[in-house]
Amino acid sequence: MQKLAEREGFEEFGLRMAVKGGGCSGLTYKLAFSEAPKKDDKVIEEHGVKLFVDFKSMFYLGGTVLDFSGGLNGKGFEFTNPNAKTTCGCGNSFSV
Amino acid sequence: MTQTADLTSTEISLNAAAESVALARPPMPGILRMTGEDALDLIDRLSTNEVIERPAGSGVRTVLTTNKGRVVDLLRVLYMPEHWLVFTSPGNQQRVVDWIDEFTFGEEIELEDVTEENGVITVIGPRGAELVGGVLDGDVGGLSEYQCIEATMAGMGVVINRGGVGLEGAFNVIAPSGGVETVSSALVGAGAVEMDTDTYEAFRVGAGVPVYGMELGEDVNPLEAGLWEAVSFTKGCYVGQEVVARLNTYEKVKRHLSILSFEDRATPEPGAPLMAEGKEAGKVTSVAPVVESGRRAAMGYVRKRYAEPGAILTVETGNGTATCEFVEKVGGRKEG
Repeated sequence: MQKLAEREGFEEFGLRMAVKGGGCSGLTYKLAFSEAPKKDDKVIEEHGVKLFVDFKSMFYLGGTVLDFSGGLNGKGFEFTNPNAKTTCGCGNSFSV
Repeated sequence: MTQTADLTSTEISLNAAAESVALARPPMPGILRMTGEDALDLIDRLSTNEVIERPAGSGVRTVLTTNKGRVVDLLRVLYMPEHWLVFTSPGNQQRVVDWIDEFTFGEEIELEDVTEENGVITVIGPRGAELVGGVLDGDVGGLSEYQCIEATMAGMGVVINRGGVGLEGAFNVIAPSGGVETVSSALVGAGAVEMDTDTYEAFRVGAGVPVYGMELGEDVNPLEAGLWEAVSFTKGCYVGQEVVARLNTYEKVKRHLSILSFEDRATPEPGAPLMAEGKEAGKVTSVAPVVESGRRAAMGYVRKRYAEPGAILTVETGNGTATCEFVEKVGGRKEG
Protein backbone atom coordinates (compact mmCIF):
# COMPACT_ATOMS: atom_id res chain seq x y z
CA MET A 1 0.00 0.00 0.00
CA GLN A 2 2.84 2.32 0.95
CA LYS A 3 4.52 1.83 -2.44
CA LEU A 4 1.28 2.33 -4.34
CA ALA A 5 0.50 5.51 -2.42
CA GLU A 6 3.98 6.90 -3.03
CA ARG A 7 3.62 6.15 -6.73
CA GLU A 8 0.38 8.13 -6.69
CA GLY A 9 2.18 11.05 -4.99
CA PHE A 10 0.76 10.67 -1.48
CA GLU A 11 3.11 11.13 1.50
CA GLU A 12 0.43 10.96 4.19
CA PHE A 13 -2.48 8.84 3.13
CA GLY A 14 -5.46 6.77 4.07
CA LEU A 15 -7.52 4.39 2.01
CA ARG A 16 -11.03 5.63 1.29
CA MET A 17 -13.40 2.69 1.12
CA ALA A 18 -16.89 3.54 -0.03
CA VAL A 19 -20.03 2.31 -1.74
CA LYS A 20 -21.49 3.94 -4.83
CA GLY A 21 -24.59 3.33 -6.87
CA GLY A 22 -24.08 1.26 -10.01
CA GLY A 23 -22.72 -2.08 -11.09
CA CYS A 24 -24.98 -4.92 -12.17
CA SER A 25 -26.47 -5.56 -8.75
CA GLY A 26 -27.08 -1.98 -7.70
CA LEU A 27 -24.15 -1.08 -5.48
CA THR A 28 -20.46 -1.21 -6.16
CA TYR A 29 -17.26 -0.73 -4.17
CA LYS A 30 -14.92 2.19 -4.46
CA LEU A 31 -11.33 2.32 -3.23
CA ALA A 32 -9.09 5.37 -3.49
CA PHE A 33 -6.21 7.03 -1.70
CA SER A 34 -7.16 10.07 0.33
CA GLU A 35 -4.94 12.51 2.21
CA ALA A 36 -7.18 13.00 5.22
CA PRO A 37 -10.57 11.91 6.55
CA LYS A 38 -13.62 14.09 6.00
CA LYS A 39 -15.96 15.22 8.72
CA ASP A 40 -18.16 12.30 9.89
CA ASP A 41 -15.84 9.69 8.33
CA LYS A 42 -15.23 6.58 10.39
CA VAL A 43 -11.47 5.99 10.65
CA ILE A 44 -10.28 2.40 11.10
CA GLU A 45 -6.60 1.49 11.36
CA GLU A 46 -5.47 -2.02 10.43
CA HIS A 47 -1.91 -3.23 9.73
CA GLY A 48 -0.68 0.34 9.74
CA VAL A 49 -3.15 1.49 7.05
CA LYS A 50 -5.91 3.96 7.87
CA LEU A 51 -9.29 3.31 6.30
CA PHE A 52 -11.73 6.21 5.83
CA VAL A 53 -15.40 5.25 5.48
CA ASP A 54 -18.17 7.83 5.03
CA PHE A 55 -21.30 7.71 7.16
CA LYS A 56 -23.71 6.33 4.53
CA SER A 57 -21.28 3.73 3.17
CA MET A 58 -20.73 2.44 6.72
CA PHE A 59 -24.31 1.10 6.71
CA TYR A 60 -23.45 -1.16 3.79
CA LEU A 61 -19.86 -2.01 4.73
CA GLY A 62 -20.11 -2.90 8.44
CA GLY A 63 -18.25 -6.18 9.01
CA THR A 64 -16.68 -6.24 5.54
CA VAL A 65 -13.28 -7.90 5.21
CA LEU A 66 -10.97 -6.31 2.66
CA ASP A 67 -8.24 -8.59 1.37
CA PHE A 68 -5.79 -8.60 -1.50
CA SER A 69 -4.85 -11.59 -3.60
CA GLY A 70 -1.87 -11.04 -5.86
CA GLY A 71 -0.04 -13.12 -8.43
CA LEU A 72 -1.09 -14.22 -11.89
CA ASN A 73 -4.35 -15.75 -10.72
CA GLY A 74 -5.03 -13.12 -8.08
CA LYS A 75 -8.21 -11.08 -8.15
CA GLY A 76 -6.68 -7.93 -6.65
CA PHE A 77 -8.74 -6.38 -3.87
CA GLU A 78 -11.46 -8.69 -2.61
CA PHE A 79 -14.45 -7.67 -0.52
CA THR A 80 -16.21 -10.14 1.75
CA ASN A 81 -19.32 -8.26 2.79
CA PRO A 82 -21.74 -9.95 5.21
CA ASN A 83 -24.44 -7.41 4.25
CA ALA A 84 -24.45 -8.45 0.57
CA LYS A 85 -27.46 -10.62 -0.28
CA THR A 86 -26.49 -11.02 -3.92
CA THR A 87 -23.22 -10.40 -5.75
CA CYS A 88 -22.79 -10.09 -9.51
CA GLY A 89 -20.56 -12.34 -11.61
CA CYS A 90 -17.46 -10.18 -11.38
CA GLY A 91 -17.81 -9.74 -7.60
CA ASN A 92 -17.53 -5.97 -7.69
CA SER A 93 -21.23 -5.26 -7.40
CA PHE A 94 -23.71 -6.31 -4.76
CA SER A 95 -27.17 -5.68 -3.37
CA VAL A 96 -28.41 -5.70 0.22
CA MET B 1 -56.35 16.15 -47.95
CA THR B 2 -59.38 14.22 -46.72
CA GLN B 3 -62.72 16.04 -47.05
CA THR B 4 -63.86 17.25 -43.63
CA ALA B 5 -67.62 17.16 -44.34
CA ASP B 6 -69.45 14.63 -42.12
CA LEU B 7 -66.28 13.69 -40.24
CA THR B 8 -66.18 13.65 -36.45
CA SER B 9 -63.72 15.85 -34.55
CA THR B 10 -61.80 12.66 -33.74
CA GLU B 11 -61.46 11.81 -37.42
CA ILE B 12 -60.55 15.39 -38.34
CA SER B 13 -57.73 15.60 -35.78
CA LEU B 14 -56.42 12.09 -36.58
CA ASN B 15 -56.43 12.99 -40.27
CA ALA B 16 -54.52 16.18 -39.42
CA ALA B 17 -51.93 14.15 -37.47
CA ALA B 18 -51.52 11.79 -40.45
CA GLU B 19 -51.62 14.28 -43.30
CA SER B 20 -51.09 17.81 -41.96
CA VAL B 21 -50.53 18.96 -38.38
CA ALA B 22 -52.37 18.44 -35.09
CA LEU B 23 -51.81 19.74 -31.58
CA ALA B 24 -52.26 17.58 -28.48
CA ARG B 25 -51.90 18.07 -24.75
CA PRO B 26 -50.62 14.67 -23.55
CA PRO B 27 -50.63 13.74 -19.87
CA MET B 28 -48.06 16.00 -18.21
CA PRO B 29 -44.72 14.24 -17.73
CA GLY B 30 -42.68 14.86 -14.60
CA ILE B 31 -39.85 17.31 -15.27
CA LEU B 32 -36.71 17.43 -13.13
CA ARG B 33 -34.07 20.11 -13.47
CA MET B 34 -30.78 18.30 -12.89
CA THR B 35 -27.44 19.89 -11.99
CA GLY B 36 -24.19 18.73 -10.39
CA GLU B 37 -20.82 17.59 -11.65
CA ASP B 38 -21.52 13.91 -10.86
CA ALA B 39 -25.09 13.92 -12.22
CA LEU B 40 -24.48 12.41 -15.65
CA ASP B 41 -22.08 9.78 -14.31
CA LEU B 42 -24.60 8.68 -11.70
CA ILE B 43 -27.51 8.44 -14.17
CA ASP B 44 -25.19 6.54 -16.51
CA ARG B 45 -24.43 4.01 -13.74
CA LEU B 46 -28.12 3.55 -12.95
CA SER B 47 -29.65 3.30 -16.41
CA THR B 48 -29.48 1.45 -19.71
CA ASN B 49 -28.25 4.02 -22.22
CA GLU B 50 -25.05 6.02 -22.53
CA VAL B 51 -25.78 9.12 -20.50
CA ILE B 52 -22.42 10.74 -21.13
CA GLU B 53 -21.15 14.24 -21.90
CA ARG B 54 -22.89 15.44 -25.05
CA PRO B 55 -23.25 18.89 -26.64
CA ALA B 56 -26.04 21.21 -25.51
CA GLY B 57 -29.13 20.48 -27.60
CA SER B 58 -28.68 16.70 -27.39
CA GLY B 59 -31.33 14.40 -26.04
CA VAL B 60 -31.33 10.74 -25.12
CA ARG B 61 -33.76 8.20 -23.71
CA THR B 62 -32.62 5.82 -21.01
CA VAL B 63 -34.32 3.35 -18.68
CA LEU B 64 -33.79 3.21 -14.93
CA THR B 65 -33.78 -0.48 -14.13
CA THR B 66 -33.86 -2.57 -10.96
CA ASN B 67 -31.06 -5.04 -10.30
CA LYS B 68 -33.38 -7.62 -11.86
CA GLY B 69 -33.47 -5.61 -15.07
CA ARG B 70 -37.05 -4.39 -14.65
CA VAL B 71 -38.31 -0.93 -15.59
CA VAL B 72 -38.34 1.70 -12.83
CA ASP B 73 -39.05 4.43 -15.38
CA LEU B 74 -38.27 5.51 -18.92
CA LEU B 75 -36.44 8.85 -18.84
CA ARG B 76 -35.75 11.44 -21.52
CA VAL B 77 -32.68 13.55 -20.74
CA LEU B 78 -32.34 16.88 -22.55
CA TYR B 79 -28.95 18.59 -22.54
CA MET B 80 -29.47 22.31 -21.90
CA PRO B 81 -26.48 24.71 -21.85
CA GLU B 82 -26.29 25.01 -18.03
CA HIS B 83 -28.28 22.01 -16.78
CA TRP B 84 -30.20 18.94 -17.86
CA LEU B 85 -33.96 18.43 -18.03
CA VAL B 86 -35.03 14.92 -17.07
CA PHE B 87 -38.52 13.91 -18.18
CA THR B 88 -40.14 11.12 -16.18
CA SER B 89 -43.46 9.37 -16.71
CA PRO B 90 -46.48 11.41 -15.60
CA GLY B 91 -46.69 11.50 -11.80
CA ASN B 92 -43.54 9.43 -11.40
CA GLN B 93 -41.02 12.19 -10.70
CA GLN B 94 -40.87 11.70 -6.92
CA ARG B 95 -40.31 7.97 -7.34
CA VAL B 96 -37.44 8.73 -9.72
CA VAL B 97 -35.94 11.25 -7.28
CA ASP B 98 -36.22 8.72 -4.44
CA TRP B 99 -34.70 5.96 -6.60
CA ILE B 100 -31.70 8.10 -7.57
CA ASP B 101 -31.32 9.31 -3.98
CA GLU B 102 -31.10 5.70 -2.77
CA PHE B 103 -27.99 5.23 -4.93
CA THR B 104 -26.39 8.59 -4.14
CA PHE B 105 -23.34 8.34 -1.88
CA GLY B 106 -21.70 11.73 -1.73
CA GLU B 107 -22.08 12.41 -5.46
CA GLU B 108 -22.78 16.00 -6.40
CA ILE B 109 -26.25 15.94 -7.95
CA GLU B 110 -29.32 18.09 -7.48
CA LEU B 111 -32.78 17.26 -8.78
CA GLU B 112 -35.41 19.98 -8.62
CA ASP B 113 -39.00 19.13 -9.50
CA VAL B 114 -40.09 21.82 -11.98
CA THR B 115 -43.15 19.96 -13.29
CA GLU B 116 -45.69 22.48 -12.03
CA GLU B 117 -43.77 25.39 -13.53
CA ASN B 118 -44.12 23.98 -17.03
CA GLY B 119 -46.61 22.65 -19.54
CA VAL B 120 -46.09 20.45 -22.60
CA ILE B 121 -47.78 20.69 -25.98
CA THR B 122 -47.14 18.07 -28.66
CA VAL B 123 -47.30 18.99 -32.33
CA ILE B 124 -47.86 15.96 -34.55
CA GLY B 125 -47.90 15.55 -38.31
CA PRO B 126 -45.87 15.95 -41.50
CA ARG B 127 -46.31 19.75 -41.45
CA GLY B 128 -45.15 20.00 -37.82
CA ALA B 129 -41.68 21.37 -38.59
CA GLU B 130 -43.11 23.96 -40.97
CA LEU B 131 -45.74 25.09 -38.45
CA VAL B 132 -43.46 25.22 -35.39
CA GLY B 133 -40.70 26.87 -37.42
CA GLY B 134 -43.19 29.42 -38.76
CA VAL B 135 -44.46 30.41 -35.30
CA LEU B 136 -40.85 30.62 -34.02
CA ASP B 137 -39.61 32.31 -37.16
CA GLY B 138 -36.80 29.77 -37.14
CA ASP B 139 -35.91 26.33 -38.44
CA VAL B 140 -36.59 23.20 -36.38
CA GLY B 141 -36.61 20.74 -39.27
CA GLY B 142 -32.92 19.99 -38.68
CA LEU B 143 -33.51 18.64 -35.16
CA SER B 144 -32.92 14.88 -34.93
CA GLU B 145 -34.77 12.49 -32.60
CA TYR B 146 -34.85 13.83 -29.02
CA GLN B 147 -32.69 16.89 -29.83
CA CYS B 148 -33.79 20.21 -28.39
CA ILE B 149 -33.36 23.98 -28.70
CA GLU B 150 -34.33 26.94 -26.59
CA ALA B 151 -36.47 29.48 -28.43
CA THR B 152 -39.06 32.20 -28.04
CA MET B 153 -42.60 31.41 -29.14
CA ALA B 154 -45.47 33.90 -28.85
CA GLY B 155 -43.28 35.94 -26.50
CA MET B 156 -42.63 32.95 -24.23
CA GLY B 157 -39.30 31.26 -23.59
CA VAL B 158 -39.81 27.63 -24.62
CA VAL B 159 -37.84 24.47 -25.26
CA ILE B 160 -38.57 22.62 -28.50
CA ASN B 161 -37.83 18.90 -28.30
CA ARG B 162 -38.11 16.57 -31.27
CA GLY B 163 -40.10 13.40 -30.68
CA GLY B 164 -38.65 9.96 -31.10
CA VAL B 165 -39.76 6.34 -31.31
CA GLY B 166 -43.52 6.16 -31.93
CA LEU B 167 -43.68 9.94 -32.25
CA GLU B 168 -41.15 10.37 -35.04
CA GLY B 169 -41.37 13.83 -36.51
CA ALA B 170 -43.42 15.22 -33.61
CA PHE B 171 -42.30 18.23 -31.60
CA ASN B 172 -42.80 18.74 -27.88
CA VAL B 173 -43.06 22.39 -26.90
CA ILE B 174 -42.19 22.89 -23.23
CA ALA B 175 -43.54 26.26 -22.11
CA PRO B 176 -43.92 28.02 -18.75
CA SER B 177 -47.23 26.86 -17.23
CA GLY B 178 -48.62 30.42 -17.33
CA GLY B 179 -47.85 30.68 -21.04
CA VAL B 180 -49.09 27.33 -22.34
CA GLU B 181 -52.44 28.69 -23.51
CA THR B 182 -50.74 31.59 -25.33
CA VAL B 183 -48.35 29.21 -27.11
CA SER B 184 -51.18 26.78 -27.88
CA SER B 185 -53.31 29.61 -29.36
CA ALA B 186 -50.40 30.71 -31.53
CA LEU B 187 -49.95 27.19 -32.90
CA VAL B 188 -53.69 26.71 -33.51
CA GLY B 189 -53.80 30.17 -35.12
CA ALA B 190 -51.06 29.01 -37.49
CA GLY B 191 -53.14 26.02 -38.56
CA ALA B 192 -52.70 23.16 -36.06
CA VAL B 193 -55.89 21.14 -35.45
CA GLU B 194 -56.56 20.54 -31.76
CA MET B 195 -56.79 16.93 -30.69
CA ASP B 196 -58.87 16.08 -27.61
CA THR B 197 -57.65 13.83 -24.79
CA ASP B 198 -59.42 10.65 -25.94
CA THR B 199 -58.23 11.10 -29.50
CA TYR B 200 -54.64 11.62 -28.35
CA GLU B 201 -54.93 8.42 -26.32
CA ALA B 202 -56.16 6.59 -29.44
CA PHE B 203 -53.26 8.09 -31.41
CA ARG B 204 -50.76 7.03 -28.70
CA VAL B 205 -52.04 3.46 -28.64
CA GLY B 206 -52.08 3.21 -32.43
CA ALA B 207 -48.53 4.58 -32.60
CA GLY B 208 -47.30 2.17 -29.92
CA VAL B 209 -46.09 4.72 -27.39
CA PRO B 210 -45.81 2.92 -24.03
CA VAL B 211 -46.81 4.61 -20.77
CA TYR B 212 -45.86 3.81 -17.22
CA GLY B 213 -48.50 1.86 -15.30
CA MET B 214 -49.98 0.36 -18.49
CA GLU B 215 -47.09 -0.90 -20.62
CA LEU B 216 -44.16 -0.09 -18.34
CA GLY B 217 -43.44 -1.01 -14.73
CA GLU B 218 -41.46 -3.32 -12.53
CA ASP B 219 -43.15 -6.37 -14.08
CA VAL B 220 -41.49 -5.84 -17.49
CA ASN B 221 -37.96 -5.54 -18.86
CA PRO B 222 -36.92 -2.86 -21.35
CA LEU B 223 -36.40 -5.29 -24.22
CA GLU B 224 -39.84 -6.88 -24.17
CA ALA B 225 -41.19 -3.31 -23.92
CA GLY B 226 -39.46 -2.55 -27.25
CA LEU B 227 -37.15 0.09 -25.78
CA TRP B 228 -34.14 -1.13 -27.80
CA GLU B 229 -33.04 2.36 -28.79
CA ALA B 230 -32.79 3.30 -25.11
CA VAL B 231 -30.44 0.40 -24.29
CA SER B 232 -26.69 0.30 -24.96
CA PHE B 233 -25.15 -3.16 -25.09
CA THR B 234 -21.60 -1.78 -25.11
CA LYS B 235 -21.55 0.77 -22.30
CA GLY B 236 -20.56 -1.60 -19.50
CA CYS B 237 -22.04 -1.96 -16.02
CA TYR B 238 -25.24 -0.37 -14.80
CA VAL B 239 -27.86 -1.56 -12.36
CA GLY B 240 -29.60 -4.52 -13.99
CA GLN B 241 -27.07 -4.82 -16.83
CA GLU B 242 -26.29 -8.52 -16.31
CA VAL B 243 -29.95 -9.47 -16.70
CA VAL B 244 -30.59 -7.22 -19.71
CA ALA B 245 -27.40 -8.39 -21.45
CA ARG B 246 -28.35 -12.05 -20.87
CA LEU B 247 -31.85 -11.49 -22.32
CA ASN B 248 -30.24 -10.12 -25.46
CA THR B 249 -27.34 -12.55 -25.82
CA TYR B 250 -29.34 -15.72 -25.27
CA GLU B 251 -32.49 -14.40 -27.00
CA LYS B 252 -34.51 -14.86 -23.84
CA VAL B 253 -37.09 -12.16 -24.61
CA LYS B 254 -40.26 -14.23 -24.38
CA ARG B 255 -42.93 -11.67 -25.22
CA HIS B 256 -43.16 -8.43 -27.13
CA LEU B 257 -45.11 -5.25 -26.56
CA SER B 258 -47.25 -5.07 -29.67
CA ILE B 259 -49.81 -2.93 -31.45
CA LEU B 260 -53.10 -4.75 -31.92
CA SER B 261 -56.23 -4.02 -33.90
CA PHE B 262 -59.75 -5.00 -32.77
CA GLU B 263 -63.04 -4.86 -34.56
CA ASP B 264 -64.75 -1.64 -33.45
CA ARG B 265 -67.45 -3.23 -31.24
CA ALA B 266 -64.83 -4.91 -29.09
CA THR B 267 -63.99 -3.15 -25.87
CA PRO B 268 -61.60 -5.39 -23.95
CA GLU B 269 -60.35 -4.26 -20.58
CA PRO B 270 -56.65 -3.58 -19.98
CA GLY B 271 -55.24 -6.69 -18.32
CA ALA B 272 -57.57 -9.05 -20.23
CA PRO B 273 -55.80 -12.24 -21.35
CA LEU B 274 -55.15 -12.72 -25.06
CA MET B 275 -55.76 -16.28 -26.21
CA ALA B 276 -54.51 -18.35 -29.15
CA GLU B 277 -54.94 -22.07 -29.84
CA GLY B 278 -56.76 -22.41 -26.53
CA LYS B 279 -53.78 -21.09 -24.55
CA GLU B 280 -52.94 -17.75 -23.00
CA ALA B 281 -50.83 -15.82 -25.52
CA GLY B 282 -50.46 -12.49 -23.78
CA LYS B 283 -52.45 -9.68 -22.23
CA VAL B 284 -53.98 -6.38 -23.24
CA THR B 285 -52.37 -3.27 -21.71
CA SER B 286 -54.14 -0.29 -23.34
CA VAL B 287 -57.28 0.10 -25.42
CA ALA B 288 -58.02 3.16 -27.57
CA PRO B 289 -61.08 5.00 -26.20
CA VAL B 290 -62.25 5.88 -29.72
CA VAL B 291 -62.31 3.97 -33.00
CA GLU B 292 -60.66 4.92 -36.26
CA SER B 293 -61.82 3.62 -39.64
CA GLY B 294 -63.96 0.97 -37.95
CA ARG B 295 -61.07 -0.49 -35.95
CA ARG B 296 -60.10 -0.05 -32.32
CA ALA B 297 -56.36 0.11 -31.64
CA ALA B 298 -54.91 -1.60 -28.58
CA MET B 299 -51.54 -2.49 -27.14
CA GLY B 300 -50.52 -5.59 -25.33
CA TYR B 301 -47.76 -8.04 -24.53
CA VAL B 302 -47.85 -10.99 -26.92
CA ARG B 303 -45.84 -14.19 -26.55
CA LYS B 304 -42.99 -14.42 -29.06
CA ARG B 305 -44.63 -17.27 -30.99
CA TYR B 306 -47.73 -15.18 -31.73
CA ALA B 307 -46.04 -11.80 -32.25
CA GLU B 308 -46.00 -12.36 -36.00
CA PRO B 309 -47.94 -10.76 -38.86
CA GLY B 310 -51.15 -12.60 -39.50
CA ALA B 311 -51.50 -13.95 -35.97
CA ILE B 312 -55.11 -13.93 -34.79
CA LEU B 313 -55.76 -13.66 -31.10
CA THR B 314 -59.00 -13.63 -29.14
CA VAL B 315 -60.08 -11.90 -25.98
CA GLU B 316 -63.17 -12.03 -23.79
CA THR B 317 -65.07 -8.73 -23.62
CA GLY B 318 -68.27 -7.56 -21.97
CA ASN B 319 -70.17 -8.48 -25.13
CA GLY B 320 -68.61 -11.77 -26.10
CA THR B 321 -65.40 -13.08 -27.60
CA ALA B 322 -63.62 -10.68 -29.92
CA THR B 323 -60.80 -11.36 -32.34
CA CYS B 324 -57.82 -9.10 -32.79
CA GLU B 325 -54.99 -8.92 -35.25
CA PHE B 326 -51.35 -8.53 -34.38
CA VAL B 327 -50.19 -5.37 -36.24
CA GLU B 328 -46.54 -4.95 -35.30
CA LYS B 329 -44.04 -5.05 -32.45
CA VAL B 330 -43.38 -1.78 -30.66
CA GLY B 331 -39.91 -0.30 -31.25
CA GLY B 332 -38.98 -3.36 -33.25
CA ARG B 333 -35.61 -2.16 -34.46
CA LYS B 334 -33.99 -5.40 -33.50
CA GLU B 335 -35.41 -8.87 -33.54
CA GLY B 336 -35.59 -10.20 -30.01
